Amino acid sequence: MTSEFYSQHVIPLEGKIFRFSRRLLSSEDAAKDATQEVLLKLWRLRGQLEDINNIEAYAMTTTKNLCYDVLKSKHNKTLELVHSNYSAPSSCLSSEIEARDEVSLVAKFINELPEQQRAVIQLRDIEQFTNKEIEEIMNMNSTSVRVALSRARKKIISELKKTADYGIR
Amino acid sequence: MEFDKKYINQLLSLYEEGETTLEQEQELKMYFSSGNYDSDFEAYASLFKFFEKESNVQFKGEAAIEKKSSRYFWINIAASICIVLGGVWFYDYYENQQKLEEARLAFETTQNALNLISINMNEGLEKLEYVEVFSQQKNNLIK
Repeated sequence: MTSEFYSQHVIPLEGKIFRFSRRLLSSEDAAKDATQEVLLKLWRLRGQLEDINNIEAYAMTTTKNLCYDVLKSKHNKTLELVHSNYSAPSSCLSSEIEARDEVSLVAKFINELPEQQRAVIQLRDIEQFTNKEIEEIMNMNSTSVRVALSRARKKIISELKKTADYGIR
Repeated sequence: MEFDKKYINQLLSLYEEGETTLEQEQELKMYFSSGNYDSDFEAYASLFKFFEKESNVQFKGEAAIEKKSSRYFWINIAASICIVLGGVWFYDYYENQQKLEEARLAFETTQNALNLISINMNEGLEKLEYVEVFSQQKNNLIK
């Protein structure tokens, strides 16, 4: 019964969890690990999942917390992670194709944003969560969600306009 | 679907302020994915295209792990067979070695025992020489 509930409600979320952690950790491999860990965590809690009214938001909160932990521990051992980080050998070809695309510029600009803005824009513009859900996930109030969102969007758009003006592609 | 440029402009400025609803953002997405957007909106178009593309990225972690485990499955079986065969062979060899050792021990003990007997026998032979002398003297006297 509970495992059925899990496969019906949690497994479909794995894409969202993966994309969110990839955005926060900016590494494909680290995101895969984080996704596995979040899924495992939710599996352990499967008995209590039915009592949670918004599993999607709950899963995202778990993902956020885990990614922040990973980032925190990464800051503590930068030396160790310098070489193992930011590589995705499997997507070599796709990233090559992507590099010619203006779309990858957007990815670059998003990844240059502060952590919180990155998270908010991912949740809102890619995963289509409502502001209310984002407040819950990020533990922010409604004004700061809107401000973070607006800042992130303005920043990306101004960067995009700048590159378009200089003709750098 | 036809979109008014002024309306889109208005939506975009609302969007930048973070004031749009999800439905309005959906409208913007549809406008830019249709392909015939105004060239003034080029920067926005790449942004919305990116969102569209990103939302289709899938998680592939699990499939990779399953593949790996199925490949290792047969290697595991082969390794365990090798270990079992090796164990049986070694046990056999050890048992044989043990038997040989026992036989050698038995042989050595027997040899020792026989040696002891022969040494004692030789000692007894020396004493027999007196008997020989005695019988000679006796024969001399009786003749």
